[in-house]
Amino acid sequence: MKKINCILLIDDNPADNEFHAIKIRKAGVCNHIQTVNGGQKALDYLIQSGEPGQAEAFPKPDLIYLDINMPGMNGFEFLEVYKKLNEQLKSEILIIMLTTSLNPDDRERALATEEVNELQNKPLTVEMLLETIEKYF
Amino acid sequence: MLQMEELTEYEKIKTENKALLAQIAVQQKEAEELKKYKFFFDTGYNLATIASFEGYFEVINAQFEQVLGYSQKELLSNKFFSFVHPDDLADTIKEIETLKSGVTTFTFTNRYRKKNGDYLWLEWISSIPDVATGKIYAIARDITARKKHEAELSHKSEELAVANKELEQFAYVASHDLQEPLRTISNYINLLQEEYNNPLNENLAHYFKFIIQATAKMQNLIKDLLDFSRIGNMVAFAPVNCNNLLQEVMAELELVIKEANASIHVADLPVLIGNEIGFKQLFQNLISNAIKFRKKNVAPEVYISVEESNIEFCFAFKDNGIGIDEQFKDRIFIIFQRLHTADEYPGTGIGLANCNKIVALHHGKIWVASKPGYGSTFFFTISKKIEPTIV
Repeated sequence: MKKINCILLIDDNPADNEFHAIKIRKAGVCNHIQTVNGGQKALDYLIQSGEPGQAEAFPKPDLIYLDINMPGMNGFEFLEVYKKLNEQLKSEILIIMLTTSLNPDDRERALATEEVNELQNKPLTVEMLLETIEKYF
Repeated sequence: MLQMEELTEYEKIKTENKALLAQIAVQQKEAEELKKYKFFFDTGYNLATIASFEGYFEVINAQFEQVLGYSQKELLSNKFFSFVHPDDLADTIKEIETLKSGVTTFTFTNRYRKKNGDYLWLEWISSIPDVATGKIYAIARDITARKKHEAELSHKSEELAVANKELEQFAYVASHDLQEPLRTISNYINLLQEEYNNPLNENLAHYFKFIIQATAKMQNLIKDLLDFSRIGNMVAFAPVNCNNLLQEVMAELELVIKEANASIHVADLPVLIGNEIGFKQLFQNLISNAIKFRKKNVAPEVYISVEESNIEFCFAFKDNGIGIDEQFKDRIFIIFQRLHTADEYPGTGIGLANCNKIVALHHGKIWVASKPGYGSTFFFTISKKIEPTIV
């Protein structure tokens, strides 16, 4: 079975982050699961992961699950800043937006964003995870 | 001779007298008639006047003094423009110009200042000009009370609209924000069940089942409430091709239709101005209801037709299902009202409430004609006065 190194979960709701982390653990698709509870914290994390010698504490994610509706910096606002990060930092990161939103506008906007590979609806399931890893890695 | 002359003179006077008497009788009769007209002019609720093109009342009835509180002299010696509310002056001048051109007018309204300084609303129900003499024959009535009621009513309906909007907003926010914690509960209950369900402990399985069912039900109710509150935002109106839309809906319901062995007969439907998403929901709900509430062992038959009048379209969705008891005919359109248990017929009871709201949005009405055991026909009207939204 394929296994990637790190998945980063970005969601303001810790209960969701925890739940999705459990599902990822159950699916056994990665070595590290990192969770942050907001867009700004995610950016801080990514920048840290680019610093030399931080691979242990801040492993660079191969896959990001990004929530849309978050207070402060929402998913789309995060993407606006993320776009401006240096290429090396962004290279080989896959982003999936993970939301409860059934709003077709959100879907359209997500898919129109170059950095976003897909939009999936919460909650993550083991099947969804296995399928995603199979498809992209 | 003399006698002859006297006799002739006498006859002459007699004839003249007779003629005079007849004349007096005519004049008396005319005076009587005039009195009747004067009585007609003076009495009653309306204000009646003969006014000049120059802007003076020349003759007024008693109601004028009564209603406005001025003396007859005050009313006749001032130009009537001087009594008119400043904001209505321009319109009043325009109105007199119209009359001067020989056009009879109806239902012109303006405000007059009373002696005590208050203003009252007059409605000039008919103003007839006579261009040859430069006179206006006009009748007005005091509609101040009506205007006040109208203003109150419009104020109340504005308040109601605001309250409705707030309620809708509340339902939206409440249901939207309720979703998240409920989702969390549902997620973790499922996790608990996955990790701790013990096949040897029957009670535990039961408890999990009830919690999961209840959470799912609440999720459905909240989702429906959210959808219901969103209908108020369906404000985009454009031409809707009902034939195409119905085909779309039927394609989506294909599985349901097949499973129930239902046949749906559709007459030619119009293209009308409406909200497409709303119409789709409307068709979907009515067709799936017609199929859902079918009789046991009877294949459902649904007939969809439409009748058109000058002002509206009236749609009919007729089925051969179980029908609805007379006493429930209104209740079925209320949100979350159900007539059956969920085991008999699943659903939260929102479908017809949604239909009701969508139809109301199109200035229409929805109702049902039904006989239990013989099927139901749902009728709804859609106003033709709906304008397409300009984007």
